[in-house]
Amino acid sequence: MAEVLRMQDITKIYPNGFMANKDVNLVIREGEIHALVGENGAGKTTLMKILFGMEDFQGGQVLLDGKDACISSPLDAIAKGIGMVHQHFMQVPSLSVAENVTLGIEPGQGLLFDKKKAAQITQEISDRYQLKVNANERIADMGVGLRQKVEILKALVRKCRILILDEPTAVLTPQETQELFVQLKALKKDGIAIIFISHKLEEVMALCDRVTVLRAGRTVGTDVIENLNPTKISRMMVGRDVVLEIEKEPAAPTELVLQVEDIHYKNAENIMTVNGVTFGIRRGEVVGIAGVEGNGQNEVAELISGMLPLTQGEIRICGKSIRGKSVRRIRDMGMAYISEDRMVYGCAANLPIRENMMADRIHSQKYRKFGLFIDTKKINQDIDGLIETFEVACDDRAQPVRMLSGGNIQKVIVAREFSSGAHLILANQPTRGIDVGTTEMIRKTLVRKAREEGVAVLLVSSDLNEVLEVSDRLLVMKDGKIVAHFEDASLVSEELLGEYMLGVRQMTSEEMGEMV
Amino acid sequence: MLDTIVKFLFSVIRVSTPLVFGAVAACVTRKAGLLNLAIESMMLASALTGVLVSGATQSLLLGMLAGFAAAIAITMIISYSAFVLKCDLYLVSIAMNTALVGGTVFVMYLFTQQKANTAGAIPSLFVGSMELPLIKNIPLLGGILSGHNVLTYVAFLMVFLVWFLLYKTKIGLRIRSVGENPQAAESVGISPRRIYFLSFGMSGFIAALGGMYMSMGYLTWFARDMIAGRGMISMSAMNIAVGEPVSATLAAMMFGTADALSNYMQLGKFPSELISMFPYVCTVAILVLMAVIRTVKATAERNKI
Amino acid sequence: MKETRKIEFGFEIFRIIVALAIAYGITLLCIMIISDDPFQAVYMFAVGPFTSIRRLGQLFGKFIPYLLTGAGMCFVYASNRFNLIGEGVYLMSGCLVAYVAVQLGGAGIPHILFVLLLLVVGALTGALFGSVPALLREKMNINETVVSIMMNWAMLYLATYLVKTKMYDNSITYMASKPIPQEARLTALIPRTQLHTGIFVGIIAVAVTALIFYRTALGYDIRICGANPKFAKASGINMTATLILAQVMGAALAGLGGAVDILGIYDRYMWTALTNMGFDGLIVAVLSKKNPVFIPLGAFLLAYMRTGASILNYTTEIPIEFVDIMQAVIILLIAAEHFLGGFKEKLIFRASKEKNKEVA
Repeated sequence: MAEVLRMQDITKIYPNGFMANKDVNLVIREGEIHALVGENGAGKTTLMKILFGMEDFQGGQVLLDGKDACISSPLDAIAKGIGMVHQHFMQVPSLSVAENVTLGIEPGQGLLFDKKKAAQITQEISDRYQLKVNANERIADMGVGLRQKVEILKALVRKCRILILDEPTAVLTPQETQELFVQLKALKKDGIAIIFISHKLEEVMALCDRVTVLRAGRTVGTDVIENLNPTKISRMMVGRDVVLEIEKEPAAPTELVLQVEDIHYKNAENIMTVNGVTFGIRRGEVVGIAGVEGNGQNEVAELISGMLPLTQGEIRICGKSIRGKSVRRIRDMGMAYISEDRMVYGCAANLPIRENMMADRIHSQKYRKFGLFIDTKKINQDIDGLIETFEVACDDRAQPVRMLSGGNIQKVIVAREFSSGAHLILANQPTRGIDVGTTEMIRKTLVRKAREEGVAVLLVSSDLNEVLEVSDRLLVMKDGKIVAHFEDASLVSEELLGEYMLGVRQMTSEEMGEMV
Repeated sequence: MLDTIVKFLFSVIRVSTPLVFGAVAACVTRKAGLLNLAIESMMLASALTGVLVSGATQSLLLGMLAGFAAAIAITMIISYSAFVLKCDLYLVSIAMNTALVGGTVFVMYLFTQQKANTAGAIPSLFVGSMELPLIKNIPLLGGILSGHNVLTYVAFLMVFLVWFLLYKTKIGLRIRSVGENPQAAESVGISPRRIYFLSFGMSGFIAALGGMYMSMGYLTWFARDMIAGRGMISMSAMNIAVGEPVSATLAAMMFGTADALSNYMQLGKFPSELISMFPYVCTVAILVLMAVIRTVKATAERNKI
Repeated sequence: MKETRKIEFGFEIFRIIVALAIAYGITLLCIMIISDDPFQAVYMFAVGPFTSIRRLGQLFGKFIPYLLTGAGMCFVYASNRFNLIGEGVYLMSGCLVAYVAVQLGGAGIPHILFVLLLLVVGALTGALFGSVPALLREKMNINETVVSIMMNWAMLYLATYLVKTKMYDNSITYMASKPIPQEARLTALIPRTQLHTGIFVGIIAVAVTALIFYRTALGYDIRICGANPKFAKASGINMTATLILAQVMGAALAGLGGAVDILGIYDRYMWTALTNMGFDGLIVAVLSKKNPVFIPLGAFLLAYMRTGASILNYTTEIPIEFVDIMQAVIILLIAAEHFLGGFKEKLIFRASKEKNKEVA
């Protein structure tokens, strides 16, 4: 098969000095489905943004059909036959499917937009590939699965030869996923090369012809699927045979700290993302929530932290309800929160380490002086102490956080949250995309907090290794519900956990038992 | 009495004209998702340039072309600073307004050695008025609608043109999509930055007509600070109409009525300042009302679920 | 890492200097082109403010209100709100202060007490009017820029209305209030100059602002809210209260500025157009990069330019208005993140490449 795309020795350094890609190689052949896999932060998205002309790069070259292609913009990429289906749909909700699909290549004479023609073109392609989309429907009225079809339609209408799909199945139901795979295979028969970015190895195995693995911004290797199996791929991805093992004594849980009773949450798109979740956490234990991302775990954490308003059900911390309370009040009740997206909710990038570490406690009596003022000396002492304890690699406390590496930014955040004297620590994806050393430190500290200081820890993570190693008890969430509960996480195998996460198995309420 | 009313309504249309231009100009950028706070400066630039160039060349066409060019140049400076150099858009717009209030006086002085107005110093040309055939013969209505400056009719034509542009053309579709979801537009190769430049440019073109109406129609000379907040009133007319050209025009007419009323009141003893305040206070009141309605709706929506 | 920070810091200073130099260069060029006696004109503009005590006093007369509006806009700008209410409250507070001074004049209130009372009136006026856009923004999510601009114009007309109906002086030909009683006015530090005791108010205000910014919890909260509102929420900061407070305090300082200016320099209230002082305050805040410590520097720079222009205005025929253009150029260049940005990236890229080489 002919080679359609070759990305050679691509190097990308962001303005803050972060090296996202280092000498990355990727070769795509005509009519193949090529998986691009790697952990979060391995550089997949950056590589695809470069291919699609959304980011410039400092080294290497992109070859299309063997010729040097200088892709300067998405428009240029589209013109050269590259289409991309983004993780977040790139759609204008108030416009119709046809208007969205033909946006940028609108039919019509001169300046005029021919709405009928647009609908006709869209419907034709939709029918040809059996995508089952109604061209005149408004995007705002459609479901997620159909909206993804609109994204694919957009690429097809533009006659793409290379189609990039960025984690397309993350938002789909199993049936929708199956349907998508059938349609992708049909596209492949038409000679379209597909780049499939995914975390789900079983999907990669079922769908793809070849696999390229990235790790920490570098290419680990490319191979045909016949030579691979999920274990092999996962080892290439994480690059270590032994998982990080954490020594821990058995838990001796005492009184209840967190009680979650039958909570529900409906998001802005009117989808019930949390649908009747009940569990509890006791002093001294770590409870993990595993699940494929987007199954309601994040919402559960945000409801407990007060970031989302609690409307249905009840959440109690140390016996007191958090309903209607502000984040400040909930934190005062003894909650600490490591949020999922560290650059958005975890820190203020342009401010110094000092402000970032003090954000939650600057009002505390401890730092008061003469009533109105703050005790800078004490603050500086404490911050320097935290920087030392958590080994934050930085110039000094006045250095803006944005200049630190991802791992060190996370250290600033955990230093703050671990030192707030909380009874309950919510750790939402605490080690996503950061280096092994920091990861190990954070995991060990979570366990130590529970064992030595009697803190109740809730760990939400999509990293299987992490939830299995760190948790005492383990819950699995799927579609906003808890589908499994393991009394002892150390007895659970990754395979079994995966089956629950992917909805292959489900526990009955008797099997799950009392979840406190 | 009837005569007074006819005269009053005639003057409402007369003073509303620049506001209508300004309001639809603001609609174009609003639909692209941007608030245009610099209409004031665009109007000032074109008002002065139109007068200077038409005076120098004795060509109305050249004068108006220069007026357009001046306003568009302003929009390009704003766009370049905001979308390329990443300045805060509001900051640049406000800076531009102040710069133009002073800058036009400065330039006027250079050419006329006068600091108040160009009257007498520059033999500038102006756009004449026009009788509408048929309509002018209708009693009352003819007196209100006919005999206005040509640019006044252009203003109302412009409302339709902008509506047509936004809802019936490819560019309009692109502008609206950028305004609603710039990433989506970008992903299909539409550069939001280009749309921003374009919508600001078009906005400048329309605002230029408003500026030239002031100095080459409403008055026949340029006076310092002659826009006097009209750009801001237009922007708020657009704002309470959420960028819909037709509603924005109605809002602009409402403010125009207040303006006409204050002109009338100035003749009498009644302090006209209170009426001059009306558009501003009214805008804030309507914004509050809209916010209240929004909250009530959102609460109702939540309770429904 | 240290390397990156050094580059960024040095770069910021370099950028501000380049911006000022460009703006200054353009201005000097303009002056030279239009003036009959270019060297005299440039001399007047550049050195004029320092050539006599009176002119230096004039510079300080502008410097004092800039300290106050600059500090006020620093609060607003640091909390990342584009609230321009300072412009209107400056004028409104000048008007009300003049009104109260005229009403209470001759009542025998001791000078110090009278002045303090009037300053409080000014600050309260600012806080009162300033709370409207702040509350509407934080409680109802209404665009504070639009509301504040609307209110500025409304306040201009309201003040004019008050002068016409409540304070009008029939004995003079122009529109102004009755004279402000002598005992209410701020005394000149150097007789017959505009350097008045208001400078102490200004210095205290800047010091208090700096203290609030770096020595109170509120200052931390304001900066965090301004830098990343989502993070502020997640850390449990009461954003509504913080942001309202910041904007109201900013407006109060601007109101204080109006009061100090009217009591220090004018003998009657006579503003019939927006003073532009609120916007100048924003320029000072932009120049000082949201750091109150640098406000005096920014205020001095702006006052110097304005004074040079006004000296040029009355010693030559060149109209004062050209500084408005110069100001806009400075704002553009300093606020433009990407001005010379490519140069900075190149430096950082080179540094990081070298570092990577060392590691490898």
